[in-house]
Amino acid sequence: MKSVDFLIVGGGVTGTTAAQTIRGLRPDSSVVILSDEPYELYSRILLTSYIRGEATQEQVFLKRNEWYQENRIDLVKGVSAQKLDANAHTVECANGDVYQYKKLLLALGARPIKLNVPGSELGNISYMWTIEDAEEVINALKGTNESRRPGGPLTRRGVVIGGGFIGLEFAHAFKVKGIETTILDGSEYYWGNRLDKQSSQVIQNILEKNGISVIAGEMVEKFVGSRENPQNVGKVITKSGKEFGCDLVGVGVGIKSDLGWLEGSGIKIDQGIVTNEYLETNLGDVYAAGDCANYYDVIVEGQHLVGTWANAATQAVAVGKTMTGVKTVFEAVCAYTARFFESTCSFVGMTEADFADEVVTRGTVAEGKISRIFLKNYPSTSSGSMTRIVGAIIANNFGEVAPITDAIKNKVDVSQNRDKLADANFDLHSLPIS
Amino acid sequence: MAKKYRIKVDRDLCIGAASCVALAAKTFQLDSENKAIVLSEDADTVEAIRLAAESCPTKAIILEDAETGKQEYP
Repeated sequence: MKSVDFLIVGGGVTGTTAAQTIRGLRPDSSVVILSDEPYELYSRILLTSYIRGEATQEQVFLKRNEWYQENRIDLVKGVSAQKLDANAHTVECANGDVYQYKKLLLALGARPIKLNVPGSELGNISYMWTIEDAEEVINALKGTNESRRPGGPLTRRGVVIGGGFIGLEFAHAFKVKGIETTILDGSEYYWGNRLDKQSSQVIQNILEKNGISVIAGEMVEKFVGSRENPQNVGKVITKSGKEFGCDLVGVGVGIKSDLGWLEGSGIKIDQGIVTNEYLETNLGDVYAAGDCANYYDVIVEGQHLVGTWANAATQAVAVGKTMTGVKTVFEAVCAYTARFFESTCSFVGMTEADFADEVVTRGTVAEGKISRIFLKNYPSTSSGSMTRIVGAIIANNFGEVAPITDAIKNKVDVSQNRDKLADANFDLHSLPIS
Repeated sequence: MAKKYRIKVDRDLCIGAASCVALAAKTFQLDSENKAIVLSEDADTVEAIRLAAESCPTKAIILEDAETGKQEYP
């Protein structure tokens, strides 16, 4: 058994940034990161640039081996945690190693949800999550139009499964590489699990304008190998019986943390690992941060699960401080903006529809930009009740991200301006920030 | 003299992930193009600035020693 002061499960941005924060505050402590990947920290965000040929593999890596040595952070690669015993303060790994911790951080991140249909194991079906995923796509792209030699293999058609951010990234990367791209979404309309019909139409129009076909209401029944290379995907067949010939498939149907190994540990789980505003779990000396944490968001006053890079890095700093005894409330408005074909789609704050009391829509499909603002009523000591903006989904209307973020952060009462919010000409910068 | 950074943002690399803004809000802000800009070079602590730069997923933030001009990150 190995004894460590600070044990971190997860070598992504959360675990690494927390380790760095802890090292800064506790120069003499021992810090161990257990990572189930065989690499130092790299940027998942850069994987699409890597695929598009705009970033090298070297750029994708954010930390080198020397960094861990200089900071005396022991990165144990390629090990997965298997059992947590909170009473004994131990974590057991799949390889049999047992670590005893004083403080434990669960920075487990998330994994893409895999499609479990016949043919899922075929080559050239990528999830764009790991370096290996990116390399698989790069290899598949080697036969594309732009690098094709006469008589050489030809990769021309790509199918993207799923609306959403990963799907957008795939579609953009495929298109940049000259691939004829079709997006299939299982919802009634494109990205229907998160967007309303109008916002969906705004994004779909941008995609179609850039030559991408978008087909909704089609779920994958199976993948079939190609005639020339039966080990690689050659066709997607949907449940309705439609067939889409392809040389490459990108899948983005959601992410999920792997929490199965925590069963029986007594830790409270509700979609993610439940924490308070200090990112403390219900178990003593056990903390959670990043994609896997369902934390208490002090701004919107509710539990919140966020899967963005900035959220992960910021939570890591807060939890690192708390773990070393500098108790720190995590307080931030999360925001993520995807940029594709000179357009954007942003999610800000709390965008779970059932959390809000009302949703206001600004803009129209014809204008090509729509902001949907999520409002919630809160009790107020002065006036009895107040209405605050808690989140927004902003389709191609980037200028509204900053004022909406400010309004959420500053808990602005919008009751007086409620009716004006739906008017796209009403400048959100004029909301009173008290 | 206390250490100070000269801070640059490579706008071609910046994708507006905004971890820098979250970690050093007095130093970084997003502009109307969703790119980080530098508000001040000494409003946050050097540790916060360093962490903000290192948290950037595209290595778009460049830190130089203000005195020597030597690049310190990335």
